[in-house]
Amino acid sequence: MIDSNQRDRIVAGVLRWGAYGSFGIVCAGLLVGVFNQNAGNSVVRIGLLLLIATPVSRIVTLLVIFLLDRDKKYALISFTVLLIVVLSSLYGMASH
Amino acid sequence: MVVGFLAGGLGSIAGVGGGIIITPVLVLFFHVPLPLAVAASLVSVIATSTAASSVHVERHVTDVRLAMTLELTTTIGAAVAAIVSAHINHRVIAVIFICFLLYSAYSMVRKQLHDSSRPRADQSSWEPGEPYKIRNYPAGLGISLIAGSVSGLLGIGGGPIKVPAMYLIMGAPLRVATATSNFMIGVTAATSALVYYGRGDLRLDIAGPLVVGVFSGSLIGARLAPRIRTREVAFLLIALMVYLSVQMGYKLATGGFQ
Repeated sequence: MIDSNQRDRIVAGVLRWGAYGSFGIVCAGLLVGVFNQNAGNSVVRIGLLLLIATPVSRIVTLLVIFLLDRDKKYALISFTVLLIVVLSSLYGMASH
Repeated sequence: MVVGFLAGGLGSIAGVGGGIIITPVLVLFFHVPLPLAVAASLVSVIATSTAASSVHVERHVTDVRLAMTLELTTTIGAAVAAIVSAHINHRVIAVIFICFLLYSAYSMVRKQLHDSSRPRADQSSWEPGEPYKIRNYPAGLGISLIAGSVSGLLGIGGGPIKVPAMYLIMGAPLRVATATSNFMIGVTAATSALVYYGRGDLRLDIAGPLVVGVFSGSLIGARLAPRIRTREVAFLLIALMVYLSVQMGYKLATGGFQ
């Protein structure tokens, strides 16, 4: 069982690492971009995608926690939210 | 980067997201086309939401179950609005933006009046761990659908819509409502940001520097917040919002946003 203290610590960790990690990568990308614009842009893109992926990965984190807790109702809700996010991004990619 | 820094700093001191400022500033003063400005703003909204909510979650003021439930509709709203926005006249989006700028300014004025008329202790009466009962899920889900759509259309967080809904209608304590709204903004903005990204509207040369600015601005703002008078910052933001809505209106009247 995962108590709510543990759960909050894990979720906060995912958010913090995602935020600081992507911030660091985007900074590094801007720095690289001063010398080589193409390489810089690729690094900035990775940083921004990591930033966008952070909230999505916290949905996955909570889904796993709810599953471990056998909290069926909230596991189903988390799964549905994840499905909406994934489907809409696939639509976005396909429409381009 | 400077825009992001100021928006992030002001936003974190006054306790609002910077999205409402970023989109119009990019459109008005940097002549960025509306969809590109919205996409860049969405990404910076994710940055502030993620950084701020990691702190709120750790302090156990975020209701993750309530957040996940309401995200059922904020994400649908965000996805549909982001997809539909490609087919809506930019002038219509600009009008909605002006309305929302004025509404946000109004809700900040109301908050300032409310804060000064009540003692501080009254607002922070709730402590983490105290029980509360959430009610009115259908109304909350409906309002979240609107908040999500507005977010995906304008590149903002939508806090001024969700916080009153959770606090006044659903019965969550104000601190919980604020933290939970912030927590939801990341997922909501990520949903529409992915649609804009897929469409090719996320420009790295705009969003990259902006995110760095917003992030460092909000870090410094959070440090400074206890030491400066947030009241002045709030009034500065209110004035800025009114100014931006007038400028947006002027641009609209002179044939902009075609």
